[in-house]
Amino acid sequence: MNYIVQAKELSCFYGMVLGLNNVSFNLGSGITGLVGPNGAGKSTLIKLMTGQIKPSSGQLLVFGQKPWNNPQILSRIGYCPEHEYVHKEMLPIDWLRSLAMLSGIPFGKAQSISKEALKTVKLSERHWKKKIGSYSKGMRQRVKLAQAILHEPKLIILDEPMNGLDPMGRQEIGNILKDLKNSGIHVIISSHILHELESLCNDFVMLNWGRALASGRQSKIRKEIKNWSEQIAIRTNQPQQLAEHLVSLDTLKGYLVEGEELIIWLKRPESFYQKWPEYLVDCEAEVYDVQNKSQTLTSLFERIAQ
Amino acid sequence: MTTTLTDTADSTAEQRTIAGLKQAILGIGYLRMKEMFSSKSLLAVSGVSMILILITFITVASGNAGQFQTWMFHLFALRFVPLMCLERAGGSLRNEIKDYTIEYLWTRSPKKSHLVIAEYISSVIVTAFRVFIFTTLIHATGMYLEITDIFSMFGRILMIELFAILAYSALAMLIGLLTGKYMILGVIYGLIVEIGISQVPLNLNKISVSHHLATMMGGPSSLAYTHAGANPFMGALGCTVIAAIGLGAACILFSNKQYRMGNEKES
Repeated sequence: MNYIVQAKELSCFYGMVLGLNNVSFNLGSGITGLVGPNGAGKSTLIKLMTGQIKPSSGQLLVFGQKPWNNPQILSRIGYCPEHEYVHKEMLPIDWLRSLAMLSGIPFGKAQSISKEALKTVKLSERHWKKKIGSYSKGMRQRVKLAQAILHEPKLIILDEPMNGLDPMGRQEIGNILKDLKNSGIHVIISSHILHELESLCNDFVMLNWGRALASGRQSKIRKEIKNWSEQIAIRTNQPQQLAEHLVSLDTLKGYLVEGEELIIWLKRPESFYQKWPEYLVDCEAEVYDVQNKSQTLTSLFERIAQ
Repeated sequence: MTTTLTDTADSTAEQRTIAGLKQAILGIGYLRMKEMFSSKSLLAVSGVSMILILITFITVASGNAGQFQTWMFHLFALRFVPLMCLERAGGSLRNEIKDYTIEYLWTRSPKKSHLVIAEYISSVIVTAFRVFIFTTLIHATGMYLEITDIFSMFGRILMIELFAILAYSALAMLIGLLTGKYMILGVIYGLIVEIGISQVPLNLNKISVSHHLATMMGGPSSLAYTHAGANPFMGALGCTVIAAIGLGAACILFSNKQYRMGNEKES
């Protein structure tokens, strides 16, 4: 398999401060999410991947090479930083044009390519004549994304691109990223808001306190967790009665009753789902709502972080 | 989790266009030119122009060529121009680091040394353009003050200022990449080397740019503003050597040092 990014026993320290600690993983193609709370090491990992800092120990390869001071690798990466800082006094076209030239695009082509990038990120043409400093957060995010795709990179790395965006803005950025993925570009995206990435990413690297807790597909990570059990929340008029009935059928690892809500941990999810209608009929309980709480990325992360 | 670093994506499969020095100069140059002609920047240049004209009126008596020359060479060319270089070249990459905008530049394909050279050339052009405007305005003010034969030294002054900009910009760039407090360190350097050591009548004074500028003009910088004994070639050579050393050191430093943005701390 061709890996886009490979880390082996990778560590990075800022003096006495821990950035990453002995992290190993492989990232394949598609959209990969770097998830973890603030301070987990996501930005440090991104700075290492974009060649901004060197590892303290271990090895990090992007497209099979070390990115630090490596123009060949940097020419294949597009980077969208977390912060909001841009050259505020400039028009977006001018800013993108200068960055396009810095990426090796000839002077004559830089303007048309910049316009193309702004169209790709769906920044309306009527805003092109305004200074970037006057833009809303969402518009600025689009310009930042445009500068990352100017030179047709093979890998785009985005650090918390959804920060501060409204739900519509998040969805739009998500759609742009999906379009990029469909055009064959690999995407690595970090976020501390896990549900943002759930529908977007095929693979994940879960980080906490500078360590990689798990990596790969959600389903694979779940399989690797010992004692993983699915958790379901059921709102019913007879939570205690339903719980006792399910316990008597030996289907549960445990349960919790909170008012009208019954939370259950399943022993064998497949057989439970098959027989679930029968259980309800036998018990004669009225069920108002059923939610699977363990299929979310958040629950998976919480489980791994324990 | 452990992995082996085999089976990698074929990095040689695709050869991409790498931006060279020319592209770096074009990119950075375009960025800086747009900044130079921004309303904010033009307003600042206008403000400084007014102040310099005012200082000329205050310091130079009508018809007093000696006072005009002292102001033009000893104060403007040897003191004000170095400060302009320090502010402009010292802050060029350092301000990008402070403002986090450096991430848009150094994550692209040009080598870091090429970024330094491109920033240096941009700084020299921007500073030279401003200095030309200021020098012209000061001379125009001198003409209004009835200073005789005022434009006879205009070309020489501009040439001296150009070499001053070349050398001081390189040193300023190096100082700016060394520390975020580049204005303070630059002023300390100026006091010790450019004002102090340059006056010492030993060969040691050759490490100062102002010594070479004075050589271009003729006579030690503290003593004369005179054409007699001038050696423009040796002075220009001295400035060029200092510029090359400063720029080379800045390239090496920026290529190897790891900077942490915003908070001024470096590892």
